[in-house]
Parts: sequence; structure tokens; C-alpha cells
Amino acid sequence: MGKDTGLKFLFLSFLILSLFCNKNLIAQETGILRGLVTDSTTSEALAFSSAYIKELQIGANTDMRGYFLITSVPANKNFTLIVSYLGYQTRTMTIRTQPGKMSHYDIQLLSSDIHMKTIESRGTRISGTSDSKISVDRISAKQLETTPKGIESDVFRTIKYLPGVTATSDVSARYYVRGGTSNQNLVLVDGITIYNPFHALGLFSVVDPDIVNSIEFFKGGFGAQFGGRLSSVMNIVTKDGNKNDFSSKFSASLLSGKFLVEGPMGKGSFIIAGRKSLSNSITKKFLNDETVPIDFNDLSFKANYSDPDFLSGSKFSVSGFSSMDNINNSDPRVEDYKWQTRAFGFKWFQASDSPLFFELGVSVSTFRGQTIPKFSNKTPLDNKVNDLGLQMDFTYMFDNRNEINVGMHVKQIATELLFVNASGSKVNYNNSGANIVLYGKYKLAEFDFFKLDVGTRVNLTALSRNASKKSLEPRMNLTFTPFKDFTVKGSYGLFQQELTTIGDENEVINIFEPWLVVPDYLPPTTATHAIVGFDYLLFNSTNIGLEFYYKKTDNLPIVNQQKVALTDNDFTTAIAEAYGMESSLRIHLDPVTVTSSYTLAYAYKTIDNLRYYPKYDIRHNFNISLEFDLGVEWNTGLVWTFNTGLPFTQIVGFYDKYYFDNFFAGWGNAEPRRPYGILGVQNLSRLPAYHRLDFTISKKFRLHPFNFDMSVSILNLYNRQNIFYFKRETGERVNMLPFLPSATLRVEL
Amino acid sequence: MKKSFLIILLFGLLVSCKENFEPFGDLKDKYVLNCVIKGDTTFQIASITRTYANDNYNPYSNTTDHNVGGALIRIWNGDSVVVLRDSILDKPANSKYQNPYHLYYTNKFKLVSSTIQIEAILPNGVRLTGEATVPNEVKFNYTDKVYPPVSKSFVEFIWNPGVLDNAYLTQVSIYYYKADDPKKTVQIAYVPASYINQGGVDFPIAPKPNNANKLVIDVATINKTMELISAGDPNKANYVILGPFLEVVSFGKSLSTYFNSITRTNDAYTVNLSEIDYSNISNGLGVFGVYLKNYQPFTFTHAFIKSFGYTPGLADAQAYL
Repeated sequence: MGKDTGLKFLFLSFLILSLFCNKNLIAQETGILRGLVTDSTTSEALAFSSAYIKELQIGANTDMRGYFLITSVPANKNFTLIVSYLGYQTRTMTIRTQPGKMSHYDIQLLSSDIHMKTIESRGTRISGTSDSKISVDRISAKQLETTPKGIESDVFRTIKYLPGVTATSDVSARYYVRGGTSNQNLVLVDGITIYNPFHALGLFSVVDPDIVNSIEFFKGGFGAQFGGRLSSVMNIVTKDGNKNDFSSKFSASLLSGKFLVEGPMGKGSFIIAGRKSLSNSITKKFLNDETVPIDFNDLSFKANYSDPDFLSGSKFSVSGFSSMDNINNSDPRVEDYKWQTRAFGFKWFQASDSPLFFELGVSVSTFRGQTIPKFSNKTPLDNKVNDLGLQMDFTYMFDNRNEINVGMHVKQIATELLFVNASGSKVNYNNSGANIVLYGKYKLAEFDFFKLDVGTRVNLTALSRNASKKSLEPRMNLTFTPFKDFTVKGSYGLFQQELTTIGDENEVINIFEPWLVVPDYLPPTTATHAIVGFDYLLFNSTNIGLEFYYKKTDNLPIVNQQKVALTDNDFTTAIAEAYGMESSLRIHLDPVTVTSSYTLAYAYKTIDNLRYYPKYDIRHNFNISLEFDLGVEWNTGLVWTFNTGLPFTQIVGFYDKYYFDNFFAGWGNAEPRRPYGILGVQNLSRLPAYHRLDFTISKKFRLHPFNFDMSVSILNLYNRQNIFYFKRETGERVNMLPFLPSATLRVEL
Repeated sequence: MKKSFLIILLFGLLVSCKENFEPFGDLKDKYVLNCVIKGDTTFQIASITRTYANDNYNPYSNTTDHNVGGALIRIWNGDSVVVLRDSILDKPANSKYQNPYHLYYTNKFKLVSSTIQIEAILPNGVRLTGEATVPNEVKFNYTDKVYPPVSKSFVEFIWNPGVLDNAYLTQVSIYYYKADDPKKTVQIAYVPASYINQGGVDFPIAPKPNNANKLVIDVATINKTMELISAGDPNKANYVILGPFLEVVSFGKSLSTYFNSITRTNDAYTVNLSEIDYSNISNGLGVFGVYLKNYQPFTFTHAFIKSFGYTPGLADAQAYL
């Protein structure tokens, strides 16, 4: 389908849908209710909280900015609005709308030590009916606090407990979603793409959990507003900072020291947080007792301005982020590494007097990774990514609850990659291009039993020269609620990616993955997602979810491992296929919450007619967590994870291979032969099953003028020796994390 | 709640904390033919080994040389064919292998063709074949003939660019003997690519094969090698310096590729569970390739040799200037 045809299709679809579905644009007998839900102490927006009108049995969830809209509210009548949120006291208030007008309410919720209220389930059930999202998990700052911390609370490690998300080791925070590679996961912080979100060989993510307000994590079937990646989107919104009072936090763990300062600033607020590595001793536990001289730091800030006298309903914010990692070896025969990520963004959010939201964003994101060989045998590598983005998004909700969302995203991306390829030649891949995308989606939400979310991205220009063949990325989500508390969901979408990394799939640990725009001789990578599933709410306390997915990826760029001659291409393509079933169960009976998930998954890759299981193919995954609210700010939790073994390639014999170390008599040893393990069919065997039990207990208390948050965690409580990998050269078995107790203390002023 | 916690803990303790696994599959029986033809001699050797399974997980514990005797090995070289003779040799005393080994050899081989083929027919009928191309001969376009160079901090040797896929390996040696040695045994000091100083000790970095058709050596590296010849010995004049010597080896395509595959190194932290195993032997493993060697002498000036306190052993290079 050509670009023009695509555009015509897009706008025609919206026009038709608008005409048919929008029968009552400005109904004079009803009004619109808009609310902004915030924390009463800090005025921080509370994303994903639920609001519903008791008498009308209609409701909505707040978006990531804390806003909700409920249209078609009968005017000039008083109604009871109930607003609830995890970890906050439910608030009941009277609201009234004016005919044909927008009525805005600022709703502040008081933090509670009781995590869940019965009313919340009710509210979620009703407000959730307007939601047609599928394969999405929403994590709030409160939830991040309650997950097992290990050495340090980590956003990326938290999502590993979600069904459909896999990891290949305890060591790396790198994750794989539904059979996709790790470079297919988009990480957005306040709308800015972060290219290398990992510290210290992937041990930890660069996003400090203390600055996170909320996270939306899409495992597939994501809407037309997201693009550029094939597998998942992690959309992180950071905190605005305390608008009411100054506060500061300091914390230290076995790994790093952190600070956070926030407070009001004129008509807005600010937040600034930083982190610095303190010790390498704990990383030895992760790295087979090897000391790696890792040094890292990161700094985040955000400031916002909101003045109704200047521009009503507006909010301006600037945010920045910088992370830096160094591995500096004192031995000149061992190479050094440096990598850094920097991001800066400006946003203007505007809520108008009509049910229209507008957001303008400008951002810059850069990454640079270097390998400095010094006098080692390692070859040099230098990778630079410069990403300049401009985006405009409009959301309009019609009176009948239908919604239209359109926008334009422009990205100018330049990548430079200097490395020594597999044939020993220095190559320089420099590529740049502009990706101009128009997107639009229409959300049909006027019927209680049926919701439809249909849209497309139209790539007007592409980063790589071969990308023009596929310019349209249609997406569709739908929900059908045949009877109360039971919702069937489905999703279909086409996704395109033009960036890749030169990571090697056979590497179980790597330093960083250099990025590049796919070379011109390769077509763009595309993926098709098809998802069906259902959600069922039982007895107001039990949520059951089940999803089936299928994902096919074409033209997946991979490093050509078979390159031996100069004329061979550095990259080739593969086909990937993944399908599976994910189920989840959540039971909340005060004071205990039990969450469990089971995933049955199959992932395949095909390269040169060889179909094999990629290293992240885990057949069965089971997670169960128990959270106990012990009262008086004591909380404890247990998480047990079970995975069937990861694929590995068996050794089917050795032979004594010539290494010619002593080609000239002056160098090397006398024996030129060393044993070489011959590998069998790739990844045909499985490692033993992985399982681990983690325990956390935390207590919050106040010693005037300080607030303390103390937690103790034990990873791998029963010291399961989960195998990480087997060294072919020496026959040594390397295990993952052993029994590992740790403690964190946070002090807040 | 206490009960459930105890049950979970008990369950955890009951489940196996360590599970054994088998990293080895059934042995894949394969034969390995290695034959590297040297362009500067008529004496050529080849060997055949086979794959083996190890009794334990550490492959270095193997002490049996799984070589294969009784095979017929032929090399086609243009219109002629040479048959290699099977012989049995005792292992050197310091070898880890315990058994004698079969070595196939000929002393009647002279390269005449640009492409040569090998065939090995094993006693059990297995046939291994391979083909190799002869690399371009190294012809020097530019060399610094006298050392130390004038107005330069390095010496440079440039030769003709060969085929794109050819790799080169170089070695600079300094020949000398001790005057008080009645046999005048010539000794060699090898000049590395560079030295690095670690903890006050200079470590040499060996040259590596690469595609560049030139060699550049810093004078500091040669000077350091000269110093190290007599390190710790106050009697410098006892060292008679004959001169330096450059060897350049050009590898044919198959050997270049083989070298490239075995010298790919991971970084200090990356753990890679795979490595490319290049072979140009059909129906088996190993490598069949050709390399050519060329030599380029250059000379030290007497003034340079004497600056270390050594004795010049040849005529003064100053005469060549």
C-alpha cells in the first residue's frame, strides 16, 4: 500500500467513524466531567487511579498524567464520585456538571497504609470497561516499592515477574518479551527514547525507581502512538516533584549511594536525583566472583511550570537525564569501556475547555559506547547515536465516550559505528535519516459491551533506504464483554523497526549493545502481532487473565556469524516466530495479596533454513508472589520463580585444533594444539530448570525530623544452584546468584 | 501466616538445590586433516586426527593423541601429484600426549601451481578433500634499509598489496652471539609489535596477522629489544650484533580465514558460548592452506650498536647510506 493510499485510508476511516459514531458532539442536556487526581502530600499525579460515578455506574481510569474524563454526565444534578487508588484512602465526593460544558475537579487522595480497599476493585471493574487495552501492565510507584528489592529496587527487574517477559540470567536486567530480541524493546522516559538503559554489564537499569511516577508496559499490540520497536514498550513517566514542600532523601545499599531532592519552585516544582556506585564487591556475586572495576553514575532532573493565570490547563516541563559507566582497568593489557546516555526534553501539555488534550514534545537523546583496547587483543569500537525528536499528540473525547487520537512524530536519527568486523577489517557504518510519522487512532467506546481501538502509523519517510516498501503500520484492539465481569480481548498489528544492535546471541554477558540504523542492503524488520484473551473478575477479589499470542518477525537483522571472507556481509537476516499462552491470577484478601502467573511459550529463529530455539526460549514459566501487609508500616513478601531450562548447545566431541601460536618460534608456547569443543545442533538441549525464592521485609518509621524506610531482602533463600553457563574450555560450571542477603536504608527529610 | 511461611520454607529446602546436567551429547565422529604447505621448502607434513569424547568435563585432561595412521594422502600440484609417506614419531618428552603419533610427510614437493588440492583416504574408507590457493609473493616496494632512520621515529616496510583476502604476519629478529662463546652460537632477540610497562616490567606484545601490506615499528621498540639483549649483564662488549632481519609471511585465502577465525577474541568480560570453527576440508575438519615467506635484511649502523656498548659483527651500515 502506497503512502498516499495509506493517508487517504487513515483520514477516511476517521471521518466515517466520526460521522457514524459521534451522534451527539455537543449535547446540551449533559456535561463533561474532568478530574485531576493527585497525592495530597506532594500533589504528584496519580496515574491509573479509578474514578466512577456511583449512580450512573460509569467511570474512567486516570491517564499517566493523572487526568480522567467522563462524558455524558447528566447536567445540573448531583452525583457521587468515588475515586480510589492503590495505597490511598478512597475518596467520595459530590460532583455536578453544567450543560454542554466541562467541569473540572482537582481531587487529592490521602496516602494510606492499607494497600487495597474493596471499593477499589469495584471501581476498577467499572472504570475498566472503557479500556480496550490488551497485553498491558501498569505499575505505579507504590507497586515498585512492594516488589522484592534484592540489592536495589530496579524497574527492569520488576517487570521480569510479568508473564511473557523472560530473562536469561540473574545477572542481567536485560529482558525479552514474547520471543523478541532485547533490542526490540522500546524504553521511553517522559517520552524520550533511551538507547542503552543498563548500568554495569546489564546488572541494573539506569532508571532510578525513586523518580518513577508510573510505568505502562506493553507486551504487544501497542497502539499507533508507539513505534520504532517490534516487541514491547516501557513507557515511564517520572515524578514532577513535590509541589507543596521541600524534601530530600538519601539512601545507601551495598551497591550505590543515592540522593533525591524535590520541592516547589514558583508556580511549579522540581525534582533532582542522582546515584553513584559505591562498591564493586557485590557485583562479584553476579559475575562468578570476578571483580570488574565498574564505576557508574546517573543524574535525573525535571522541572515543571503550571500557571492558570498564564495559560489555563497548561503544564510545561523540562526533563533531563544522564548516565555514565566506566570500566577502567589498571592493567594496560586489559581493555577499558565507556558508555553514556544523555537525554533532554521539553513538553507542553494543554488541557482545553473542551475534552481535548494536546501535547507537544521536543527531545534529544544520545548514546555513546566505546571499547578502548589499550594493549589487549580486543579490537576498538566506537558507537554514537543521536536522536532528535519532535512530537505532537492530540486526544479528543466525544460526548458519547468515543475518542480520537492523532499525532505527528518526527525523528532524526544518526548512528555511527566503528568496529572491526569478523574478517578483521575496520569498518565504519554511518547512517542517518528522518522518520516522519503520522498516526491516528479512533477509539470506539460508546457501547458497554464492545470497544474498538483502530488506527495506523503512516511512515512518510524512513531511516533506512530499503524501508519505503512498508509505510503503513495498522493496529487494532477490541474488547467484547458478553456478560458482567467477563471480557474477551483481541489485538492485531503490524510493527516496523529500522534500528538494530550488533549484539551476539551467543553472548551470555555483554558490556553494551551498539546501535545502528540497519544497513542499506537489508530490508526493514517487520513484525505481526495477533493476540486474543480474556479477563474475568471473580468475587470482587480475584482477577483471572488469559492471553494467547502469535508473533512473526521478518527480516530480523543479525550479525553474520558465518562471515569469514571480506566480501561476506556483516549482517544477514533471520525469521523469528513466537507463540504462547499467558495466564495470571490475582487474589486479594486483606491483608494478603497473592499474584501468580503461568506462561507457556515457544520461540523460534530461522537462519539459512536452520530453525532453532533462541537462547531466551523458556517453555514454562511460573511466578507466585505473596504480599503480607503486617500493619503499622511493616510489609513482607515472598516471590518464587520457576522456569524450565534455557536452551543450550551440547558439546558433541573435542578435537585438538591448531592455533599456530608459535607460527614464528619467537612467540607462543611449544604445543600449537588446544582442545576445541565441537557443538551439536544449536540450542537443542536444555539446562536444568531454574527456580528461586526471594524474601523481602520492610518497615517505614519516623524519628523526627526524619522518615526512615528500611528493607532487608534475601535473594535465593534456599540457595538453589541455578546454572548460568558451562565453560567449554575448562569444563567449569558457572552458577547464577547464590543465597544473597542485602539491606537498604533510606532516610527522608 | 507462620504456617504458610514454614511450608514454603520447607518446600524450598526439600527441592534440590543443585541439579546435575549433561553438557555433552553423543560423540560426533569426525576426522581432522591439517596440512599447511610452506612455499620455501620441499618438505611438507600433514596429520590426521579424529574427534574424541572426554572422560571428564575438562578437555585439557586428555593425554591421548587421537591421530590416525594408515591413510593415503595425495596432493595435486598442477599436473603432478605427490603422495605423503606415513611415519610414526615419538612424542617429545615435554608433550602432554602419552602416545606416539603418525605424521605424513614428503620432501619432494615444490609449488608450481596457483591452486593445489589434497585428498586423504582413511583406512576405513572415509575421504577428506580440500583445496587451497597460493598467496601472492611478497615483493617489497619500500624498505628502510639502515637503522636508525634519519629524521624519523619509526622504520617502515611496504610490500605489494596482494589479494584482498590475504593476511600477513611479520617478525623482526636481531641476530647476535657472545664473543666468549667458543661455538659462536647465534642467538635471536625478537622485536615485538610494542612493549607495555606493567608494574615496572616491560611486556612484549606479539605481532598479529592482519590485512595491511606494511609494517611500521617504533624505534623505541627496537631500542628496548636491544637493551634487553644484555639485561643484567655488565659486560656489554661481549655481545656481537650481526644485524636485524625481517620476515613476512603471506597466507593464502584459506589460511587467512582460518587465522582470522582463531584470533577472534572476546573482551575481558563478555562470555560467548560459541566461536566460529572454520574449515576448508570437505567431509571433515581442519585446514589445508599455503603460506609464502619473504625476507628482508636491514642493517644497524656501528654507531647505533656501540651506543649500547655492544660490538658490531658485520660491516658498517653507514657504507650503504
